[in-house]
Amino acid sequence: MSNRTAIATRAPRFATLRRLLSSPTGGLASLAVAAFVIAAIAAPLVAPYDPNAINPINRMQGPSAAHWLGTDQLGRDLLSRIIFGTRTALYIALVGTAAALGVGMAMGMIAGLGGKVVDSVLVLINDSIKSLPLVLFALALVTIYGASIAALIVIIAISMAPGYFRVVRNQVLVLRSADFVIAAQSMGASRLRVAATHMLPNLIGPILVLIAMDIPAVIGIESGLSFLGQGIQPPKSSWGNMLSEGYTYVRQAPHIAVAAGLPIVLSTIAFTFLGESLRDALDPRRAVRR
Amino acid sequence: MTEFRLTRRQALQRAGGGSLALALSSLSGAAFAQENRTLRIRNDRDIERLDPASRGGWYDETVMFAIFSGLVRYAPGDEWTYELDAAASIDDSDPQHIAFELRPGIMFSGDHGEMTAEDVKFSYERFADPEVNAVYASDWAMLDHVEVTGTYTGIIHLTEAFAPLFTSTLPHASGLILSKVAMEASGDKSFATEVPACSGPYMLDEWLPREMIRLVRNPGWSGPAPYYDRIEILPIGDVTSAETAFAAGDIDCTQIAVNSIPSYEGGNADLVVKPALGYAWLGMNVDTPKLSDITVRRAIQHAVDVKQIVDATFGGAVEQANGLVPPPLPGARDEVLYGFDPDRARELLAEAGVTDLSLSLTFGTNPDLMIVAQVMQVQLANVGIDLTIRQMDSNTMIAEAQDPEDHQNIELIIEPFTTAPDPSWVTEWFTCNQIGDWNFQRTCSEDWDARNTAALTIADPEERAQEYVALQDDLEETGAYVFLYHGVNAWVSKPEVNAAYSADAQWALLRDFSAD
Repeated sequence: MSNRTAIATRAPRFATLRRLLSSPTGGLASLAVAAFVIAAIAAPLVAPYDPNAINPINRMQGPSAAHWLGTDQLGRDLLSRIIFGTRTALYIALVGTAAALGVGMAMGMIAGLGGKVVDSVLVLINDSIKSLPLVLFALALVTIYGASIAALIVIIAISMAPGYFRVVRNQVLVLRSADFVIAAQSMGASRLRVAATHMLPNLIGPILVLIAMDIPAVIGIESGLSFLGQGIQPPKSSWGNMLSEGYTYVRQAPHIAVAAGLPIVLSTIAFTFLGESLRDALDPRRAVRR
Repeated sequence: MTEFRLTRRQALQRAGGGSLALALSSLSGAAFAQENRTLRIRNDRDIERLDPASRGGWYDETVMFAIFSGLVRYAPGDEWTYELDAAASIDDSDPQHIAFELRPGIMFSGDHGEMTAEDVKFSYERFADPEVNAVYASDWAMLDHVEVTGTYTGIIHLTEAFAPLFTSTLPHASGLILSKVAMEASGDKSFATEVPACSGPYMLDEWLPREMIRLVRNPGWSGPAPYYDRIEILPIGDVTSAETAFAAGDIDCTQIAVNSIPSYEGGNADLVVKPALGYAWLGMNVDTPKLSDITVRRAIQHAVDVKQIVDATFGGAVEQANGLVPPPLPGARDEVLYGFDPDRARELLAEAGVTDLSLSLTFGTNPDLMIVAQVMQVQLANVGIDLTIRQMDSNTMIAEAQDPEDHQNIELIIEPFTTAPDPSWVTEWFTCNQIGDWNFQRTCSEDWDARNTAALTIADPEERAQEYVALQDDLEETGAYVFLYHGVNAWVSKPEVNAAYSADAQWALLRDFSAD
């Protein structure tokens, strides 16, 4: 079992990518994610208008040639705000997930490689964090420290870290008894070296899948908090803020809520499918079946 | 064992009997339905305190006007007029001594007896009782005492003529009459939602917090009978949800968002839009280091384009304000002293030696205010001021603004107020002794306070109006105020419902509702 895992993750990387892109879901999901990433990076170049430029005369206009997705309650171009909102969403998703990964991975490694007591204590801590009701925890934190991007990232890091902790810890516990790890240890490799050189490469696969699956959840958290007015603060564009504002005017100008909801739905689907396809592509058993 | 047998004749007889019973039951059902006419209406908040001396706000008053009666009451319609309620007559020919006579036969609910002049005396004099801790004590600030001259008659003696008596005291919730017997029996000096006895056409039947308040007819009420037998008041905070509930037919009447007005125009629902007795302004906390310099505050006054804000927020449905006192009232101003002039704003900031000024704007969870704030953010950025938006729960914001230390977190603030139909209600929050309560700007002038108090006793309406204009001029001169808007109140009701509102449509006058 441990040997097979080791062999599989050492397979050529391009083979995994080929497998990912060859499946229709994986290909489409990769394309959609790439589109979101390009939109985020090139936002100032691709957005047709300044996302914060208000024009009360044009408020709540429906889609037109000038404004493809229409305008919001302040006459701002919705498409431009969505494009810049992509930047906000992905920034928070990537930084938040990276922070969660860093914390979760470090704790998972320590738990897996440490003694029984250390493991038990860390499992208890993580289970306690996981049992916190996320929305209430987030609202409490934002109330104390104020709504900001930094606060959002802290919330995401704390709430997501237990997921990475669990995966890393379990993998380390399995790999600990793998032949190549025992061989390395018998040759005098330190714990740190074993962890960094022999175990980490074998964790990349499952972690990549988890990251892809977590990004939509993080986008959901950011959008949800922004919807409640506790996330991204104006004038920065945020899908959640736009959805919240759209909800206020849903009877008069439903296009605002629809336009704001679309990227949330699409990004969630794209990242979820990407994660699933990545899991399939990285799983040697599924690859053999295919 | 008894065998069950039915002959054809018996079957016909029983079928006939059954039909008759069905017909009778449907008739009685119709009668029952007719007797239980129910109005379902939305209140934008749940009730908090129904005590006239310490009530919460309009959401309480809407219920209070239905379950209590006063000597006089606001008449429904477009004008701020009053009509007799529990009083059979009232004599205001002497502004310091108001004689009244109650209608005999008004019974308090819960077997607390008939309403007498003793109840009037008790209800009004308790505002001065320190144990009552009356929030609205200023409504009866000039009350000397109430003299009981008979079972139903009495005289309200004032220390000085009090201009707001017939505009915002007697017809308002501070003029409502409680049962002295019931209050004394309760052993409490004041109450919240456990009403000791009702004196109006309705009484509180059931209160399910955050769910429903049910009013039913007060059997002791001997005045004009209201149309509806039951009124179910549903506290729905979110106006969009309320509009959805109305569209689904779940409620008969609701207040709607100003931005929703166009979507109801020409529709099936009855739409009523009236200028609101409210005022929203941008306040600047003069106690904070960044805003202690009047030149900086003046620059901000010039940097804000109120017309653009109002147009962006309400799409032309609301006019910009020129002061705090709303236009239907005496003392409403025609123009502001320091209007939009971004060049002057930049000059003043340069004059003050301020560069890279960064400020925060705090306000409650009102979607309209978020738009106001975002437009203001752009306008202030145009003169080089970076504005951070702090939207928070209104109660948290008010607590912070009132805190002796935390108020330093408040730099710019918007908190719209509603008011009663008298300018004194507007200005009373800006005095020195309101610092730490409702004077979020913390501006203080003893001379201003003295003039504000004196304005209560000015008998000549013209002179009084001029004084309130001057008082607002002085507030604007402090640099701590930018007047934004007064707003409108908009309601929709089902076509068969004949809705009734106060002149500003702040209150649904529930006892005056009827149906076709």
